Amino acid sequence: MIYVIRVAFIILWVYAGVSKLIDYTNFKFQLGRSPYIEHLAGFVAIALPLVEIGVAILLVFDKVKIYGFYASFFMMLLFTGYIYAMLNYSYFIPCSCGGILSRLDWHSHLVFNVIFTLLGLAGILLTAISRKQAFHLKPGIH
Amino acid sequence: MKKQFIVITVLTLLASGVLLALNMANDAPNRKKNGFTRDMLENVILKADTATFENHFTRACGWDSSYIYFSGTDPGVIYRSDHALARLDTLRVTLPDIENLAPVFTSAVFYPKLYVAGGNARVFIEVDLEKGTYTANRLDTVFSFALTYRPGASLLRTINSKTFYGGLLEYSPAANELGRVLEPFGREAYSFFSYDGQLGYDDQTKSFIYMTSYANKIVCFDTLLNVTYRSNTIDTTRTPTSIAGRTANGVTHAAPPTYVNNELACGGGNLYVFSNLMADNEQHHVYNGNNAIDCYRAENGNYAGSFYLPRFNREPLLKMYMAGAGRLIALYKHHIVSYSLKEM
Repeated sequence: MIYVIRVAFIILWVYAGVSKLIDYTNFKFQLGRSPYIEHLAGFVAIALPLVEIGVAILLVFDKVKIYGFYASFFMMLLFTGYIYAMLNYSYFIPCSCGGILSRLDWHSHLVFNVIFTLLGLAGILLTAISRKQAFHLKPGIH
Repeated sequence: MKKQFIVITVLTLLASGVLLALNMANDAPNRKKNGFTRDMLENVILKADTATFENHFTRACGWDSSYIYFSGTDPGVIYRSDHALARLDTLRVTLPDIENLAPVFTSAVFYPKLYVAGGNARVFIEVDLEKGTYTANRLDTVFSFALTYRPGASLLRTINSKTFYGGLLEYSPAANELGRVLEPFGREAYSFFSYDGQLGYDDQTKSFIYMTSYANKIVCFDTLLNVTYRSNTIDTTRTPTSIAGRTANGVTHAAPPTYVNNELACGGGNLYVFSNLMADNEQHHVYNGNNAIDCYRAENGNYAGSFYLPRFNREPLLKMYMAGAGRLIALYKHHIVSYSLKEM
């Protein structure tokens, strides 16, 4: 199960990061249309895809995958909260994603993000459980 | 596991803090003083008839002495109700299968004529609702909406696909002829977007009113498209116009635009503007519980005062329409209200 969640997040972050870098100009332009990050668009447009790819790399390695899950959970919380705030409190709603995800409307995006937030949470808890089990199974440590 | 729960809690609080900060820091309208005051008129609403229909109406699109007409998401369906909103009829007509006609179309009813203008499809359809016949004309120009102000006479809000200037173009459906053009804000770059707005026709002064959505501007012109005056709505804003920019797919807003004026309705010699900005002499809870309507004289654009239309279950007003002097039709998400207004 952990493996499936890891792979899902790695694919998600690599795809999201790379597609934003490839479509950098458009992504930056779209971020500039968001009331929440209008003034941070330049920074977010470059930092966010790099962080996404960085999180994917963390998830690749066993020793640090827990930090990858923490980061994934945190980012998905941010994205979910951002979409919820845009839908309910924003005075203007632009479109700001690229690639396949741009075909989702904001409500579908919210559902997608909630699912991945829960997957991130599951990843953290399952990793912790499996580590605990591995610790108890090591010979001589009982 | 305790450690994990602590980290999850800290991350959740951190994410909430970041979002709260972003929400507090944005330039939402009405967070700061807008620099104008509103003169509230009393007892403007004499009577209000409310109806809840299951159908989804997008706008009111015509009226006569017996009925008010509404359009929805299907260009071939028109709804009509009596002025008290006590009953509802559905009129259906079979239209040609035209790509991109819905959902971007505007309808106007001068019974038995129905005029359907599709900006994306570049088509204008004249329908006889009694006979069920129609004539569909293709147009060479791109337009966002049409205002048919009397049978056989329309104005199209056009966009120049190369320069993105916005214009208003005469169109006669019967002759399928384009006529004079007015560019109310000149040839400013991307004026179609910067000065996007709404067009109304006042039957008493026989004049058109163009009201901008992102700036406090009103332009009045006659049926020969001669500008008779330029005026301002009382609202002021920190960002008087929107900024447009090019993308791979065309031109759109480059920054979040601030709506100054939401809706316009004209009739009986008055303009009714549903404002998006709170006045300095209004209280937040009163403003947020109502829709602020500012009234102006159509003949000169002078401000005549303001009044509130209440929100329904916190739903804001979506569309307004004047069905004759003193009768204001307000469309909400789940309600329609027919207001009788006192003479102003």
